[in-house]
Amino acid sequence: MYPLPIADTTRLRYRSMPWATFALMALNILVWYHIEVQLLLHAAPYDTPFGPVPSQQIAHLIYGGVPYAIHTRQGIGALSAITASFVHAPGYLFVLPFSWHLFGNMVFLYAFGRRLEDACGPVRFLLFYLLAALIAATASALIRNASPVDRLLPGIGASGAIAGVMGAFLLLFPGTRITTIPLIGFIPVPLRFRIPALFFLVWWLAQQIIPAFQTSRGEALYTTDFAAHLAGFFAGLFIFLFVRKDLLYRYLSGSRL
Amino acid sequence: MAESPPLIESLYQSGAQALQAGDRARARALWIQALQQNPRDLKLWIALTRTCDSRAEQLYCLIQSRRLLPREIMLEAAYRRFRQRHADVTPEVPGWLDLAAILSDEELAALPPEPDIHGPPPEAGLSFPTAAAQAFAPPEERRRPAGLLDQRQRAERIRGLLLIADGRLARGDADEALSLYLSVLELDPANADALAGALRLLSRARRLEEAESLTVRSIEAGNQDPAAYVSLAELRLRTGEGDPWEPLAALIDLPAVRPLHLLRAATLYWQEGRRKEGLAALHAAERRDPADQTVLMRLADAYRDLQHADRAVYYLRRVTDQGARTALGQAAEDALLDVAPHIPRYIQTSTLYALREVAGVVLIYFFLAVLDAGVTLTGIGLRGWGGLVLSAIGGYLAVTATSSPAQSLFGELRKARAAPPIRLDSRLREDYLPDPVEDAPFPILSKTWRIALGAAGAVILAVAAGLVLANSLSAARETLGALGSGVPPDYIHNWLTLWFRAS
Repeated sequence: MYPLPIADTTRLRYRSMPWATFALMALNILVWYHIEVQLLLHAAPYDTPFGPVPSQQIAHLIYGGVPYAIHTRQGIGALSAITASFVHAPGYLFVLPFSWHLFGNMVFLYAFGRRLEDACGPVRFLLFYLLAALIAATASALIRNASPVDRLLPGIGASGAIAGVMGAFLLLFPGTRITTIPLIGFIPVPLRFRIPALFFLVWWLAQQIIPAFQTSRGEALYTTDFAAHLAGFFAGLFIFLFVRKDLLYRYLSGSRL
Repeated sequence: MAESPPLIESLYQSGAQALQAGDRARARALWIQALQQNPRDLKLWIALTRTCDSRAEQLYCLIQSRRLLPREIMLEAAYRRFRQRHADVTPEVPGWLDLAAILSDEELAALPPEPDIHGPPPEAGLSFPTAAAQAFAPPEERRRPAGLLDQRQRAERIRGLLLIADGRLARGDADEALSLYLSVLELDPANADALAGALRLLSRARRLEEAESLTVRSIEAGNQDPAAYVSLAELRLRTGEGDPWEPLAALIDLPAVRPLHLLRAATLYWQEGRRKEGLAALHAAERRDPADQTVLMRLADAYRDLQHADRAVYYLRRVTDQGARTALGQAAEDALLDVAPHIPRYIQTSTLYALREVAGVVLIYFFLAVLDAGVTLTGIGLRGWGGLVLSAIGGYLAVTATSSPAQSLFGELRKARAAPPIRLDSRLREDYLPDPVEDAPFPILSKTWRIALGAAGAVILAVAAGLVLANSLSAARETLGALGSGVPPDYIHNWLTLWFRAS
């Protein structure tokens, strides 16, 4: 059973509509739809000396953060650190046009991002999101480069940046509670539990440490980029460069945000 | 051996039980029996009026008891109230009451003559000792009862009685304490301490009408304690008798009034929906002590209640200015978050806070440069470092133009206007609100300057991005160009070769 966070329990203070969060969600969904649905179904495969390669996979190689490409300054280089955070794994297209990877990331972004955007304002929130994505991509490129196979795999998904959002949330609002619904396998149970954010996020962080360590030593190959998660989470420290002035003032004076 | 007469208290209690059971005749008989033992027991006389069959009989009982107890202020108050409410009633001798059976011949002969009850009823209003009302104040001899003691002796006796009363109260003997406070009020009806003590005990015993009469008498006798005025209003609100707003209106002009009293008055006004008067009381309190956090917080709450967010913010800021770390300061901070974003002035004008945001921008460029250099610091190169320096300059200009236009560093550019004053929302304007208050202005860059700086910052940031991402942009152009022509770029060939080798 896995608790899926759906919202934090505190109301937004400054604005009712978190435009930047919604814009990021919309962009992620659109990019996913374009790559995983349109390219897969309609684009012709590329001919290579090793046989035809689907356009969708070529897109993953170019726009995903491949450590090998970043280290050798090939492909789109540093830009892939940004584009990779908008690329997600394909769904079971012929059964259901749905990606758990995208869905999970978007749920986490919605649950934690709105409140953070409220604390930063939309522009500064987007800048922080970008910084977290860059830090996660940098760490991922450094750590995964140790593995001869992992360095060739694209690191896709918004989870590095979203981990940064989660880390920042933990720093700014450690006392809040988040509403979760339990997942049994992939099936949501229609129950709601309010869990302390501190408990949930520390529990989530603990799950990332050992796999990230194994990845750094090239001892294991995971389909999840735990290194990016871990680095992204600690990128949350930089939230203090982006949080609203008044909230920073309150934070420094020991007041509750 | 002769049987001793039942105690007065036991007769009184039995009478009360009989009355409660609906046996009025028995209650009456028991209380008359008690009066035969002590004809000057106020409690029994008051109780006896409750057994009367008509208002006329009640009036007769009151008149006779006043003759017996001419200095009993409670009785006097009850009589005045009765006459105010039932001015047309004439007394009627009840068949069951025979004074001769209660009093001895000597006592009967010593009674003062019956008053003329056909005259006008006592005045309903109060005469407050404010400047405007001084002309209508009661004559001195009515204010203070003529006593046998001279002024100094009386003052000493009052002090002694108050000390004893406070001691009794501390011991838990409320009845005795009340009796002593009332004794002081007999000597000096305007005594504020005695009135406060008596009111506290009477209110606790739910004897509100007596408390109200006592307060009226005290104020009429010259008591200028603001607490008495507020108490009178509270009592009248609780009993529903009399005009509660009259004493509160007089309160503001009292010389000894303090913010505490005005806050209580404002609370009463607010509870009864009289916002105009409530606001006036709060502003009067503010004038008395402009640094009182409680007053400022109440004003903020009042304006929040009236949905005047701008004014609420103004007063909440003043609360925090008086001390952000006090309980009220913290509450104001919380409230400010609810009402509006709150940025203290020294942060608005701080360059350090602006540089914090610039650091965020530079950090983004730094990681882009590191990634562009192949995840090394040494590979960044001169162009990359130049881009980072430009990102700091462009970032600072952009931050100044957007989120930190009030930095004190821009002193020379401060020819621009000050921060706009707080304005009333026209939708919520009400005629009784005072003129809008203005926040203290601080220098802020003009719109023209902000647009110019913002544009310059954006251009510099774009140039910086070009320098920092030079390798990536070049590789991206090549890769995307190849993809557009339908041929996978060399990079894909290299990658596939490596992949098949590795796997």
